[in-house]
Amino acid sequence: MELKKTAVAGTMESSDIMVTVEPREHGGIVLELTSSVMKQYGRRIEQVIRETAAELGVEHALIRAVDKGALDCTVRARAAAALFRAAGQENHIWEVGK
Amino acid sequence: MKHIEYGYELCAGRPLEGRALAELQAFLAERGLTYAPGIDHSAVIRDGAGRIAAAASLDRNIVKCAAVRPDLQGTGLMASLITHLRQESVSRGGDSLFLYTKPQNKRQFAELGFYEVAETEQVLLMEDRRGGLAAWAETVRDPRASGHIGCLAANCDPMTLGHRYLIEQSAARCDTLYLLVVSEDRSTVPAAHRRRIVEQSVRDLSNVAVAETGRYLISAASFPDYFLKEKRTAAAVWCSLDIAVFCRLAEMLGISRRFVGTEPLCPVTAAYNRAMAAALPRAGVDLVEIPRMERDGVPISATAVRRLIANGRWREIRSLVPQAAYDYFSEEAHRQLFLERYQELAETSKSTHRRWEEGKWS
Repeated sequence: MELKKTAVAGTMESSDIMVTVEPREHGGIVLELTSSVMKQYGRRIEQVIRETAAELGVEHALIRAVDKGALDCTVRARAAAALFRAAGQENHIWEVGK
Repeated sequence: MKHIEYGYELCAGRPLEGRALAELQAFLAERGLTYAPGIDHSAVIRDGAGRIAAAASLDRNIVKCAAVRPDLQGTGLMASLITHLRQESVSRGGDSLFLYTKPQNKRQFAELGFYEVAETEQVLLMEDRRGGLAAWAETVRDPRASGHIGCLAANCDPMTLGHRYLIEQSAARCDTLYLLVVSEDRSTVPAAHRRRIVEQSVRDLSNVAVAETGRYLISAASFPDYFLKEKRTAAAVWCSLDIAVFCRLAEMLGISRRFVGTEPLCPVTAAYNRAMAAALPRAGVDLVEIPRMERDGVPISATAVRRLIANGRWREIRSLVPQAAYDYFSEEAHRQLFLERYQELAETSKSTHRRWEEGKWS
């Protein structure tokens, strides 16, 4: 999936995560994560975001995320939404994720 | 209007006016903040009784005047405001969001995804990305730089023989000269064109490395007054943040000299030079002032060149600008573009002045 513009999804409210995706030409996936539960779950959140990008076939992007204790399913949904928006696919048909 | 948790309401949109504006100004004043010139979007959260609980505004891509009522701090209201402003900024096509706040709020905003860019005693500049300033410094860095490294920053709108003289004189006083062309696109000649003319005009100077000031130096974020020149008096010029940014760049790139032209005409630039002369030595950088080149007893100025072009007398700039600039304006399309932007800037400056007169700004 090709990214065309900067896009954002989610909020910085409790139990949510705000994900901003910026297209990049190279450099792989660069992730900047701020989390209220960084010590406990920082690595897990990072892993979920990287998996989501990989599943959608995104190779290069700057992904900035501000987490306020979101569950994995929320992280996945917000990251996917931001990536779809960045690719200009606003009409994505959501399927039941795994 | 949007309802958020616990009976609070978030209202956002165009800058406030009349009574609502007066109320916001009073709210900010109680927090030691001043409603900033240039705000183009405000977000206000009100409590159940309709009183302001928290507020934050945007000036282009900079969050300003962000404050929460003391009794409501730690309740996530600022997170709601920043969420909204970030969505607004992205919808405008902006990549980076900057923030002005007081240094003591660093941690609060770090938790909302902001990272420090530079700091003075009064204000902290943050950006919503890690290491943005360092990444910019790498775009400036020339791997061949060695010995005494100097830096000169100029808008070059458009480049004149005065600039050329200043660059030559600076380059002769150091081993490598970083020549930074202002990136902020609020001038009559577009930033990319200004840079191209500069590059073509300094090709013969082998120790000059041309780069740009990026989002960080002499930018809307670090030095807003620079772009309001006409309407400001020297006493009100506020450039300490820009100097703090430069000191960080100087440290990263090993810059030990900053060059400026003496400024007989523009009070903003003159005040900027004076402030640098006072502050830079503390960061181990010498400020070197180079006398302006004169033609017939008057300093060559880009302002005079712009005026000639605007009045249709573009051929007369021949003796005032380098060949590349003259060639540029020889093209009809470039003159047309210039005239449109010149007009636009004059109107912006007029409306800015009007708002000032109306007392909206303090």
